Amino acid sequence: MKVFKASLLILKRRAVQVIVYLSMFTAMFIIIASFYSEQVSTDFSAVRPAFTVINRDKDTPLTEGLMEFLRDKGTEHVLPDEKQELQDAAFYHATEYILIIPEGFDESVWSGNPLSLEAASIPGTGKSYYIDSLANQYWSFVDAYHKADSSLDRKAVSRMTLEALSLESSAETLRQTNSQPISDLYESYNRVQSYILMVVTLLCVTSITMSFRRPDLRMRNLCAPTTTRQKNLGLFLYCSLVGFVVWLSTSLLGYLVSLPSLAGADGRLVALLFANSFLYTFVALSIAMLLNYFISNPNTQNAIANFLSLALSFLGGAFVPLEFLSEGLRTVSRFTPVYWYSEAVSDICNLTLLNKETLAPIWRSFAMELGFAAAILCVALAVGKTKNKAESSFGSTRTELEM
Amino acid sequence: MIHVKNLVKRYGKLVALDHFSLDVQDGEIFGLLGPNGSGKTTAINCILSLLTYDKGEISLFGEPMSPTNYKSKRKIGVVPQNVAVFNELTVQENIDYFCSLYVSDKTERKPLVEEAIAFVGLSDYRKFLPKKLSGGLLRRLNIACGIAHKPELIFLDEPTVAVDPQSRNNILEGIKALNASGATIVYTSHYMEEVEQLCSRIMIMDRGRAIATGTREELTALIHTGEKLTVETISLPLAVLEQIRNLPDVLRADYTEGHLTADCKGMGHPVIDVLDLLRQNQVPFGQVYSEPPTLNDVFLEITGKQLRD
Repeated sequence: MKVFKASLLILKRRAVQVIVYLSMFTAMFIIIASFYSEQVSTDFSAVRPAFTVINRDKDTPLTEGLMEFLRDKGTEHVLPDEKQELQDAAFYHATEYILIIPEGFDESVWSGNPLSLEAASIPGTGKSYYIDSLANQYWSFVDAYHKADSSLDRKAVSRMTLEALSLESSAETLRQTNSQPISDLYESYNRVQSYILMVVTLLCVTSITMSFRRPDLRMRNLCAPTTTRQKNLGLFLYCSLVGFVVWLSTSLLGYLVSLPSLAGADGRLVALLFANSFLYTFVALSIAMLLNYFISNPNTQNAIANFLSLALSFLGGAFVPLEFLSEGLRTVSRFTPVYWYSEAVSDICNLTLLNKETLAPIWRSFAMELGFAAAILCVALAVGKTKNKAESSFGSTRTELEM
Repeated sequence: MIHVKNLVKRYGKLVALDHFSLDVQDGEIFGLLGPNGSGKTTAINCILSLLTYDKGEISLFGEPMSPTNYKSKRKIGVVPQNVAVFNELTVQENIDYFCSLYVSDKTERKPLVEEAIAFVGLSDYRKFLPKKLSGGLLRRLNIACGIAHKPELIFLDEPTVAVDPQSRNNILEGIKALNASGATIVYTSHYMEEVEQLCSRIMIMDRGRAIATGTREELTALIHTGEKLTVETISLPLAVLEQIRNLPDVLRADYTEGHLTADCKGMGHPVIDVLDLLRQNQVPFGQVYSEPPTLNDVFLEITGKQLRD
């Protein structure tokens, strides 16, 4: 308990840097949350781009069908067939897409050797691409129906094409309960939590181990009639308490600030997110145990803790979605614990049904996190053993060697 | 209390302790004197089981010493050469922490901590962090952390390095007081004046070996050099200097920069003879000093080099 109490006292004196990190993180999150709209609309409404069709061919059932189809999807902007007028309309965005049907086009389609359509669109806009694809779709269907049954006349082909294009398939998301999904705000917080959890745990743990590992203090502690087990128990208790407090405080912070956006959300999903960050705390603690053998002064402590936390969080997709990273980085990220943490966050937030199959990937991510924690801890113990063997001299003994 | 026999400690090819033997009795202040690198700290670290050693026997309080001999460790206090305190803890918290490693009971520990703070004169600084203390006060804190649990045996490893004269005197007085209260003290230093002033028995070390052990008088008796005579004189003819050199109790004599210095043999006292010779030759002289042989002379005669080389 002496080591435990001394550790808490040391942390108290070095708490400023931890408080700075937590305060900045909290402030940032509260600001982000204040901009977050609770009513995020998930409704979809199709855009209706303006289009112009210049028909230099005769009016036939096929061209009339095209006009009917396009009018259904967009807004027709009627223009005379004059070059200057068309250029002006395109320049001023009065129309997004101009389709020119050349003379004899209807006949060429019917004969199976269609002339190419002339189209002008505003470059780089999705709307013009959309109308262009609709027009192509229409003529593809016409061509398909005509080739499938050559006995059909133009009117029938046009009717059947319009019928086929009017068909819609509906998609419905099934939820096991009537609960709302986890909000984007809380999901984002959970991703970024991996960073703050890691950096604060690293700072809290290494602040203490850095002091106790000082050669002169180690020597003094070794002179005392305190067993190694007692000392290790004190440090273990300290690390456990720090890990628990950091996890609980950061988890509660996210939950409380996101609470308005979580109204109606399934409590089991929130519990799973809490469990996920709890398991990740073990990873942070094991990394801290490993780092304590390499950190010997406060300057390097801050730099290493920050660099490692930022690098891991970036690689694991905490800040930037993994889709934006290169293939190589994505491959590397699979070998980081943050990747599995972020995977678990995504899987949990996308859960609509809770059963053995849907939970399996989450359990796998949890197991990977624990596996990483265990592996890193084993490395830390091995490094510790090697380092302790090598340190057969303490502080002042060095002066004896400087003969 | 401490028994060390034929201790050998090697760092690779370097022999830090070469068949080192030591016996310290109850209640004495035992001085380990030697230049930097002579093996003093290595010897203490081996005795405290902080270092493994290649050969030899060590026993403390009649029991073999080992890293797990907690019974003996409980009775030992250590003041390391470097100030080993937590920079994040106050003076009082530091002393309380190190005392708590030996005394678990808080009520029992509290008066011990207070006593240690008062003993080293840090009562006004109890809430100070170490970085706010001067070098001398830090050394006192270092000592308080080592003695708060009232150990029977205290190892003080060069506790006065880089300390101002006033703090040094305070520390030395404190060590005497600890000894007077019943503690046995092992004191290492390369300052011969401190060791001469403080220690009842002294061991002189060089290159990991004990080259002489005894009281100050016993050590100075080991060498041929006796007292050192210095006479201030404006000039000294070479013939007179030769006559002085030929006196029976004079080992060697030199004249430089208005000072005649003469090293005397063993127990001889040639002051009167030298002054008579100067008077007979009408050589005027001023002040006359006579110093007994020092431990530096002992070290010089045995090893051929100065203690502070």
